[in-house]
Amino acid sequence: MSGPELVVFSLLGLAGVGSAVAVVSGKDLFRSTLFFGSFLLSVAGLYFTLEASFVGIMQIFVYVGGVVVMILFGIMLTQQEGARLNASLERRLTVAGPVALLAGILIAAIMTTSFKTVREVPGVDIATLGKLFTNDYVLPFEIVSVLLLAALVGAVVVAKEREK
Amino acid sequence: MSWSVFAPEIIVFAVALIALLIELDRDVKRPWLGYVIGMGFIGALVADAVLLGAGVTETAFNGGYRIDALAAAFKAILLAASALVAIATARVSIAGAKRGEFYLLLSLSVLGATMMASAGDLLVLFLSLELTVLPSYALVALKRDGRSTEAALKYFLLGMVASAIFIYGASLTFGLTGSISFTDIAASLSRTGMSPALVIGIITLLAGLGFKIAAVPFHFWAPDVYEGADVPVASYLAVGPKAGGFAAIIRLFVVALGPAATTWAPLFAIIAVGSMLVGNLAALSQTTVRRLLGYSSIAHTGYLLVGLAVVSGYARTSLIFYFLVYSAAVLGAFLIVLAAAPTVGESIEGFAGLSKRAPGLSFAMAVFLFSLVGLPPLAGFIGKFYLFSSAVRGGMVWLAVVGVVNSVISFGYYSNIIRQMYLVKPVASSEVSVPWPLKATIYFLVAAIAVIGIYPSAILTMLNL
Repeated sequence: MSGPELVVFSLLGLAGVGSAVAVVSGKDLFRSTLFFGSFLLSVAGLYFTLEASFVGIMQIFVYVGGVVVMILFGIMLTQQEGARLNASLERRLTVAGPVALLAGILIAAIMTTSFKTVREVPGVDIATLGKLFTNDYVLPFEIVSVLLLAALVGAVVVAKEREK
Repeated sequence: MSWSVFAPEIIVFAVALIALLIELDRDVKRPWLGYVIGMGFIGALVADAVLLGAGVTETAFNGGYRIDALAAAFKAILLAASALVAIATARVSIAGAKRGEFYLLLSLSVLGATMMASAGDLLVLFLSLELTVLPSYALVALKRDGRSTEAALKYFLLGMVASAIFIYGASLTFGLTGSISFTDIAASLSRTGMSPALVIGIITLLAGLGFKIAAVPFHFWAPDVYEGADVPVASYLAVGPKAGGFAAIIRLFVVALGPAATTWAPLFAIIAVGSMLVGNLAALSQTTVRRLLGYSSIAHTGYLLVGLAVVSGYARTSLIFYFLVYSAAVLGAFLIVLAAAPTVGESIEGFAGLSKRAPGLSFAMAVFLFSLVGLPPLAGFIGKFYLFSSAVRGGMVWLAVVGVVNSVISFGYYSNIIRQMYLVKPVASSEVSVPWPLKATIYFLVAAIAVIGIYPSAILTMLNL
């Protein structure tokens, strides 16, 4: 990664950490959700700087476009727009401690491990991915379709009126 | 590669579609649906038995799917148990849902568990794992009372966390080895050796799969789910997802992470001991039969994990054999609850004097419970014998001792139910009426446990033990 790229990467990383902190420290549920969206966008930005544009776009589609919007829907449908998150400082710290410890262990483990680095992934564009999904990875693709059927049926069965 | 090797999966999916299409037709009264679904599962079981008998070993879909003896053995147990559940529930009312919905979700979950047993890479493993548990969440919620909703929510939330943890471990493993295929991961690991990130990867993968088999400390959902769900659902959950989970654990850890066995084997030993102790000690103080069975199934997960803590082919075959034996007994015990609960309720005291009111059911329950304890000449004894002897052979005598001590503890709570049934005076004298398919299934399981106990070589030769 060259100079300017590194600057962009670091800025995006900082933006990600900043919005993540804003998510957990905010007292307003709605605002936290928006910060969560900006966190996900920064992660998508990181993918773009790593030249994984497809993953980046997917990140925006699925997480920002899907997950965050769904959380917002959930907040609005349950009429919690003004909801305050009033966890005490003590409670926050009891959660923050173990989480920080866990994150520390993970970072330490990852930093001390040498990962396989690939300079350039040859020809990963969407067309190739599409072909892979209908050739080598057709089975996962099909399982996902059955999984969606299961999710659909499960959701309907759980949500509908009780049988008499 | 011929499509015929996928016959079990194709038949199970066809069964799911039959349930879906029949469900669309609202006006049909359908007491026969259970038999149709059950026969479908039996058809898949026959196809699977043929594959197992012919010793078919195939790798399909770019290494993502493996059909071999390990997969076929677990699929056979799973399909047999599912067929029995379907037939047993044919004339039992499913609380809160239509029959078709229950069988549809059941067969989709069975499909997922079958595929989990055959998974050859991390992607197929994860997706089939989700396909197994997603319908299960809905199944638990079917009953729609406070308990079932709470159990379903707990199961769902913990399950999602477990899946996220599993994915984290999978991505670490992929990052370290550059592949998602189990054989490639093994090849890469034997070149590179251990690394700190791999240890984290192994722990997180274990946590994700440990949830599915209800191993301590990922067991919190199990007692609530086994108690809160409708009984037909609970009887499936005690066997189905566990079969897929154990097959996936064997494949992932033994095949893919085999070169790291010295790291994960002690972890399995710790989890095994923890599951046995927590399950058995908590079961001692339970007052309802289902919650007791829930905790005891955690203990049995502990016994089964002995087969992974000892890294040998003999231990793993013992695990598969014990899983068969455990499935038969625990399924039988849940079906007894299904049969008896409408008359006597689910508390252990409700079983008082059951031997006077329903001698057949009481005898069957005694057989199931004695088999779970591991008393000769029942199948549970042979299962535990092989499992613990594999620990002794593998130089882990202490683990075998812990297992035996725990079996003695478990005798305490199992015998309490038997004492209630045979030695305590009944509080009421009304007959317990049981629909005939349910009764037939229970007696079939009794016969299976007796036959396997007296003549185990019938199964053991099939597993090459």
